[in-house]
Amino acid sequence: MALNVSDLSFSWPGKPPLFRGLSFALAPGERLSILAGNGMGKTTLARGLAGFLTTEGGLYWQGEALNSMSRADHARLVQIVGQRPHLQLSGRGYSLREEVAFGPENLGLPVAEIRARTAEALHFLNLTHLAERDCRRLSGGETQRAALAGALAMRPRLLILDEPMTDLDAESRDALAGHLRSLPWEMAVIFLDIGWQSWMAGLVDRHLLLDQGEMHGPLTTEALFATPLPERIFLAGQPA
Amino acid sequence: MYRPGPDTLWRRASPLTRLAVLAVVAAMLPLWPAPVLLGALCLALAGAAGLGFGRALGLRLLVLMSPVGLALGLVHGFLIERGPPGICGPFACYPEGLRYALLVFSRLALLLSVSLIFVMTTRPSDLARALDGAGVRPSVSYLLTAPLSLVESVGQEARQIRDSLQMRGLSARSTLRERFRMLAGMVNPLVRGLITEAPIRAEALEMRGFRASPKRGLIDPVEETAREIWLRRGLLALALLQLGLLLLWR
Amino acid sequence: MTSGLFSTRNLVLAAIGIALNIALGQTASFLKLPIFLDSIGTVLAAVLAGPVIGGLTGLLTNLLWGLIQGPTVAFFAPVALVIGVVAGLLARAGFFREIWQAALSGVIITIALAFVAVPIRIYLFGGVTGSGADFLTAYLLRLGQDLFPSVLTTVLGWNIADKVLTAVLVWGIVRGLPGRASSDWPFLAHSRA
Repeated sequence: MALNVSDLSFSWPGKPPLFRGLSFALAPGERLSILAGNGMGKTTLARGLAGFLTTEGGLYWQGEALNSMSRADHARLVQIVGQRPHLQLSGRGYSLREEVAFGPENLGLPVAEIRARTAEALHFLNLTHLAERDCRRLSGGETQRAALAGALAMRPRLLILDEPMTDLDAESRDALAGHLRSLPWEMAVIFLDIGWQSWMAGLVDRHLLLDQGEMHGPLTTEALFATPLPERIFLAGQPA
Repeated sequence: MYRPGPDTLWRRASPLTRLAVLAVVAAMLPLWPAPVLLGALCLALAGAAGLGFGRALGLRLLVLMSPVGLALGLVHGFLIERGPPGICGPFACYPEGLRYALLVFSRLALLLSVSLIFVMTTRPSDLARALDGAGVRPSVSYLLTAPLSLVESVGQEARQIRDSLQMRGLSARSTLRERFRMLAGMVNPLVRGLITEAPIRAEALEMRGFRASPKRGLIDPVEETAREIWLRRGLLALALLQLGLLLLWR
Repeated sequence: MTSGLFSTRNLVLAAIGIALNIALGQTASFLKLPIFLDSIGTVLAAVLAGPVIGGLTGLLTNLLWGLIQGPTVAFFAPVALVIGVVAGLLARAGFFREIWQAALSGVIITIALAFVAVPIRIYLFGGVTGSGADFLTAYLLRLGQDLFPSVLTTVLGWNIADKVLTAVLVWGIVRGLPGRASSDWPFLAHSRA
């Protein structure tokens, strides 16, 4: 197994736990969804699973604890793309191309490698034609794609997507789903969402449900549609 | 402020070399008398014309320097007693003071014109890239570029809040107290939002490896000839030499 | 996360402070108040992260502003630095806890900045800057004052309202931050009653 989560719990000081006793494992390249209602702490869970919070319990990647990694190794391992993508743009570059290159540049990679990764990430998100665009002139959906491109340019082994498709048009959504299925490197993906979405068909077949801080599952898509779901978790569309 | 123009030696030079020229000019100011400085000013204006924005620079200089020139002449030529008084039309004036005013004026005008040329030919992102290329810490280039990409969105948000407050009848003609209330109503939500977002932005930067290694790579590396590096060293030496002369002569 | 004085979080705060200074400085004029609002970000950074980050925010504000709008403001970068440092020191001493303390901080900041602004005005600009404040300087000279006291009075009078209002505004902003802001910004503890 690549990612091992065992008995993971977290609460803000003086508040009831947002999640407790979370345990699951993820194989390299495996895709999983965690479904939770609005306001159930998905964003915090994403940060917890990526090792950005002081959580209780174990969080290991191939046997190494996430919170003992060097910052460079951590950055190579995991990326989150969240619901407020404009906060994820560095502002360091003027053009979109420079913005996407920010991560690979930080890793001190050779020029050819930086360029290849940037071009690849722009292509995956249908952004190649906007490469020279001023980042401040991007629309909401374009900003979402820019944040995703910035994360993919890091070629992470684990990608956590927190309601990733909300601002995307159908075309970009399908394109992204297609590229996620056929990446040139092995990347495990955790999708956090408020329910089943039709673009998940064929992309993810293992689902966890988070209800009142407790984890249920994993369920296959078929089982998901056959199970009575907790309040505020939705099924949008049909399983393929 | 940046203005594109024909490809010239000045534009091809590294932003750091252009900064070195600025340093030489800054070091000239306390050392040389007004005629030398005004001569250099003419050279700078001619240079700007060659770069394709002579008119724009001249106009800007005129707008910025006319009130300064007037105020300087008035204050030092007429209001402060310095040396023997002379007659300028119907008023008593002080020729020594006027000479001093001219000196200060030429210093300011020269420094202003050369720094304007720098600003009009250098995008902040180019400067940041040059600094990254020179091996300066990544935090420096971040602080040079990130604020400018934030200014626009912050300004836009401020204007939106302002407009919505005006719609609610808080006009700019109201009393001082009301206007201060309006200001607080505009600034508070804006600033609180930005402060709350700061840790999220910081985490996003570190997630993408910001400052994870001391030296960044660059997608468009800065290429400099050995000649340009020597030229820059020479310029810095010239700036230091002038400062040395100043100490010697004073 | 990086921690310490130059943590990424503090760098982001400085960047936000600079952007606030420039953006508000550009929108302030419509209120027709005798203020510039171009140091709110500096004082804010100082209260949240201390004198060094505050000073850095001020210094870089004027240098960057010079880069986009014309270099005159850049000459006053040392003044902005002093505003940030002094605001940070005052915050550390607990001078941003009550509204009257914040107002007093504004006065102290004005006096402190005069120590830098007056020499720059006199030696670099010959006592004038080509702005409306020159009328005040000229008037005082006409009354028979010397250049130094005239410029000093101008600088103090021109800044006092702005700095007091800025300090009070920052006090109000900081007071309204949610409780968990204190864990994000440990230095803020000095300004919590």
